[in-house]
Amino acid sequence: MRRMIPPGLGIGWRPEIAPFIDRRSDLRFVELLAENEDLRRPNHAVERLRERGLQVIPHGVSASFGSVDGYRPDSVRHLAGLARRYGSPLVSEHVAFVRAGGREAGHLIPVERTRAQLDVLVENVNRAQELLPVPIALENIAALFDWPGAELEPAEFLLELLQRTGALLLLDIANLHANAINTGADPLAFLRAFPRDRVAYLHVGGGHLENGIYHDSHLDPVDPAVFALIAKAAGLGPLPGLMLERDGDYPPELELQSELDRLAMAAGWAKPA
Amino acid sequence: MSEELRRRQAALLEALDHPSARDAVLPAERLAVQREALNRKRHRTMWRRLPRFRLALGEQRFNKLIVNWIAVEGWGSAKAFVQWLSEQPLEPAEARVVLRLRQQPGPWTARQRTTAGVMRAAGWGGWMLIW
Repeated sequence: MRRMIPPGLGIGWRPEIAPFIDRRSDLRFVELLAENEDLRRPNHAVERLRERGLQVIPHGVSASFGSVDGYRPDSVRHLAGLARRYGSPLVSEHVAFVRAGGREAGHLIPVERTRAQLDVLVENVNRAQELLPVPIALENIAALFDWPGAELEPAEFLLELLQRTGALLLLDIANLHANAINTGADPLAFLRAFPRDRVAYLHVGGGHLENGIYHDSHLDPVDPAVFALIAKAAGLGPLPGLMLERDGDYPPELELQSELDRLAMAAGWAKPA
Repeated sequence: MSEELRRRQAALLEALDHPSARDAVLPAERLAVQREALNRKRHRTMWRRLPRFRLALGEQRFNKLIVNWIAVEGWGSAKAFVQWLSEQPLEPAEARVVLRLRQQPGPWTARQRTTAGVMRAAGWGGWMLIW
């Protein structure tokens, strides 16, 4: 089994919680938002974590692999630069588009699940990989809507993308929960569809339900249903590294500790001392 | 097929920015939810976070921020951003900044080149400031 990030806890590195990350001794990896980093200015806090033995995964949001107009090579070069700086085992991005027709969405927009869209993604990802010194993992995003006229099931679409590009999967379990509510996608079918050796690592983040729509805010606690999904995924086979994404409204440190402890328990790993 | 997909992608982004767009692509209620979520999403977004900075920074520093963005991201991206900004509800001081930016004849003025050069030399990446 090829498992890029070994089992263990990780967290999205943010300056606001850097002291907490420094103190939490059982973390195995951090994920770094690539667009927040400037290669001309070393991030000393992250370098210290690297020296402590944590793996650092650059995570991009602006490559726009789903864009028919082409992806953004500069975003991928930036990921490559960060991977070299931190000796990263891989980088990650999203199955989404963020620009089209000269406009920027400002955030990740779901792609159509059509053959034409799949061809665009395959071409963009394959070209991007030529610029990268390490493998890339592609993340399933949380969607607020489904495009009409889908030709493939969600898992089928993503699996074919991985097969045709050789990319790995960054499986966001909270996004499976979001999509189950927002688009009716079956999270268990998704979990069962992927060979474990294609899953590089796992994301979870918090969200909330509002007027029947689940918002993957990363500002809320992790939903109990997401912990249950992690446990179900663990029941299907050993899990790779699992990390928490929190992007604001940071809770007191004890709450963050407790959330990470609960993730470790749901994954079937020993609770940290 | 790619042309049709290109059209749909562009139409969706236009409809998200302009509720009155004719080619809505998706049902109105779904568009409204997506539009609101985009506007609310405060993390990992560039443009949508700027109004917060605009209020916090004031006119002069906000203007510098835009100039810095032009330096890093290129004029095409900044122009589209300024167009988007001009369609938002703005305070009078903010509107003046946007109007000046819209009236610019081209990508660079001497002052912008100098400011951008200094900022670049100082290692201030556009994203670093914006995020």
